[in-house]
Amino acid sequence: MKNPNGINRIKFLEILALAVGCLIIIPIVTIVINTFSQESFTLPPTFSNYLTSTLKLVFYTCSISIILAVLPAWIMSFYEIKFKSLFDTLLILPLSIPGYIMAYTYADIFGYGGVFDVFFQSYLNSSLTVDVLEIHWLSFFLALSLFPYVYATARISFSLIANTYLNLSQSLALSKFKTFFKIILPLSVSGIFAGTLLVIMEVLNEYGAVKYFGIKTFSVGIFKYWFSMSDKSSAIVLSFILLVVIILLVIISNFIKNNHQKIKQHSKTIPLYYNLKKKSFLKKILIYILLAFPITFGLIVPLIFILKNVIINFNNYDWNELLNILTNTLSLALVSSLIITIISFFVLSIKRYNNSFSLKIVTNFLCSGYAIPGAVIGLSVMLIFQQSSLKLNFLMGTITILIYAYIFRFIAVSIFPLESNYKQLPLRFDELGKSLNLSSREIFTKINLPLSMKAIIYSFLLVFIDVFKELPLTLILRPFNFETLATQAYQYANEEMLAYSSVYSLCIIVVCSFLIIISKIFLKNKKNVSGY
Amino acid sequence: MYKIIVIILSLSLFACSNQNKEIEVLNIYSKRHYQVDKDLFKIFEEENNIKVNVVKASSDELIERIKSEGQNCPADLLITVDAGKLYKAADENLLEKIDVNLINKNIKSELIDNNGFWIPITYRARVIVYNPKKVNVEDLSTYEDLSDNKWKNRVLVRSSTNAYNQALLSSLIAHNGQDFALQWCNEMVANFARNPKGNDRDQVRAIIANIGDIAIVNSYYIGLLKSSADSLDRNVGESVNVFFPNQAESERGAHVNISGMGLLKNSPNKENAMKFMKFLTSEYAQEYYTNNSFEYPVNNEVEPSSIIAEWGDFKIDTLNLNELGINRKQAVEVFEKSQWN
Repeated sequence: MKNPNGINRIKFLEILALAVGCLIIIPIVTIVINTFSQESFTLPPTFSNYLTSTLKLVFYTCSISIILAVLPAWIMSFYEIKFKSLFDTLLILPLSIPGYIMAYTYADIFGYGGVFDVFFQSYLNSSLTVDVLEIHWLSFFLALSLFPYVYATARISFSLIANTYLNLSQSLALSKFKTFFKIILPLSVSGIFAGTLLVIMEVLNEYGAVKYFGIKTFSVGIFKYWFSMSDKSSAIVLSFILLVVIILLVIISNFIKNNHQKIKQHSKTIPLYYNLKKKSFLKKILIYILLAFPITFGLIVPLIFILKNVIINFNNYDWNELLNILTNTLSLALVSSLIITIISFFVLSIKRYNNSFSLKIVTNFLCSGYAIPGAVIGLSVMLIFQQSSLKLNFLMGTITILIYAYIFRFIAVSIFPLESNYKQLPLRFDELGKSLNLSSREIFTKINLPLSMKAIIYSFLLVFIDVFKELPLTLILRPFNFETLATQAYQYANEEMLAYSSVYSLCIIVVCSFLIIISKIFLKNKKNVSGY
Repeated sequence: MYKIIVIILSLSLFACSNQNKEIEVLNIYSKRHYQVDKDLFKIFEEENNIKVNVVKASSDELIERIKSEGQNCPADLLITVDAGKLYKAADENLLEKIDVNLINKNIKSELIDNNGFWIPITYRARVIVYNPKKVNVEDLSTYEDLSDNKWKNRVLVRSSTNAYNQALLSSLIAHNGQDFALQWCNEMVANFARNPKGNDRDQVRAIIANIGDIAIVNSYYIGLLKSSADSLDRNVGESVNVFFPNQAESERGAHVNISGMGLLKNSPNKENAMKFMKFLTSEYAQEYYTNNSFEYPVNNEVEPSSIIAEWGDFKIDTLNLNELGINRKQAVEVFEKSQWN
């Protein structure tokens, strides 16, 4: 950074980062421009219906996710229990089951002729079907697959709480209950909120399951106005409102995060564990039930059901096709997540050197892609190609366009861990590098890159898992004869052929579980390398 | 780092170029994703040595994609499960006229597009199924009558976002006008046994689960239930009866809709597309369809599968099927006003 060339290079890289960022956020810009280029900004007549059910679904799902996640996270962080690392892994694994698969599977279990119904008919001789196609049940099913987001962030927050606070609470003779609500929970708000934000985004993106459950959310509304009523302007207004809400949430999350910075400074701590042996038998049972509940319903029950379907239909599957689709999905996920991770790391690194206002704004916009329903992204990508005079439409129906849409959709997933990694890498390392006469390139390759490797691989894995499960974008933008596990699983489930869908769902679950376990092991082993 | 970027870029380029370019191909954008289509496409491929490429998505998304691709659209045919969507594609100037007589002379005249933009593949009726233990068949008559107070808390139907319901309401608007349709919807909402949700089969299952007594569903779902490998589904199919509405002499007949195909304006493989349309309307393919997906054949020479034939012949609503597209926007507006979920 000392010579003029170095400064030029940084400037050039900053412009490049801005350019890449802007290229990626074109779909948002399209929505915004379209919104404001309308003659009048009118809300669709039934706007309040969409708003109410979206808010309800978001609220219920978040509440249930928090309940399912926070108590186990607390137990795992502060109690010495048997099979701790096993529980820890099992509590993350429900993430491997996409929300729509969870919802379809449970609807089938509880529906007429489902396991539940058969049980009642054969053993109790009464027909008792629970009508689970209701908004609160859907919230429960979605929460079962989304609570690990909150669990993971809550667990990290809890483990960062310094001993001093807990010792203080003990010396003040606060009960564990009070300690939890008065100390642990307030100190972890930022972490829990970060996880909840991801849950909110996933819920807003949900399309298959909400449609099946007959719930009018924003994504359903956008489609209805756009297509069925040829009212593009209402659809665009709905997308715009969604966008504003998400950006607000991201800003709130940043605000909370910044306010908690000071507390995290105390984070180096020797873990403090309550001894479970001193607990009464009943309390012990209760603790294990709290841990087992989300695992049972978020992982074991759906998995057993899907496995049962696969075993029954084992001879009906086209295994060659499955292999083919698996390869498709794996290579697509591999290429996209590599590109996404590299781009986000590049942009964030430039932002670290030069935290300009424009870069900040662009990064915030980049994060909002995750919240926009995939189907809307697909449509706005198509709008761009329709309107553009650039004659780029030869790219439609190629993998390139699909990957472009993935980048926009998932770059936030990669930015979150990378950004928090950079926040935790003290800037004085860079200063130290400078004092050792290292060029900014050397500071990057010799200090920041190796120290961030853990976060890079972690963010790559997260993106990989998300791309692997992605549905609406892939459905609409894929090339000829191109199926992924998700499109295949969804299409069969949607055609009411859950048995056929199961084998594809199982593949998604197995691969994602495997990756989640790998990323966990990886995180554990690498813990000491970067020294924070 | 630079090496990694180079590797990735070349990988993605490889992925982009990894598209088969065979000499003889046919490219299809299809809403249908049934096994029976897959089987028939394969047979066509083998017989004609033409590779069939397919993208499957919802009709609206496909139409939007065709518009985005413009001149470069590689697709030859658009296949949908709703005449309304084909009308929409034609209305957006995406389809080319086809002389139906060049494709097949035996296609049912009621199902032919007056404007000549699309060819039907199969058709189905939106029927009423009922629980014979609880419903006297003489109480059933027309779609209009389902809004009568006697059906209070007894009617099952899926949500208004579904294209089948939108098509049905479009036909009601075409026959009775928008005001009548709104009143009908409002009264229907009062008769619902539960909030509309799930798919067509779920409505039939809900009859057996005693949630309601009658349901509005597409005819082929009953055929699929009756022939299912799952004994519980077979039981569901066997336990309900099918009723074709609006059959009295003064009535117009039951609402039907088609699965159909339209030739795209920029189709690069027109000849192959014509061959394919002839194949799908041929007696062989039509028999294959009706015996496996339990839709009605559009070819006059082919009898419906025995499973659906046992419900007997019925009078088809002869409304110009394009009306299902023309009135679609009004239909959705009516649904929005009526609180039909």
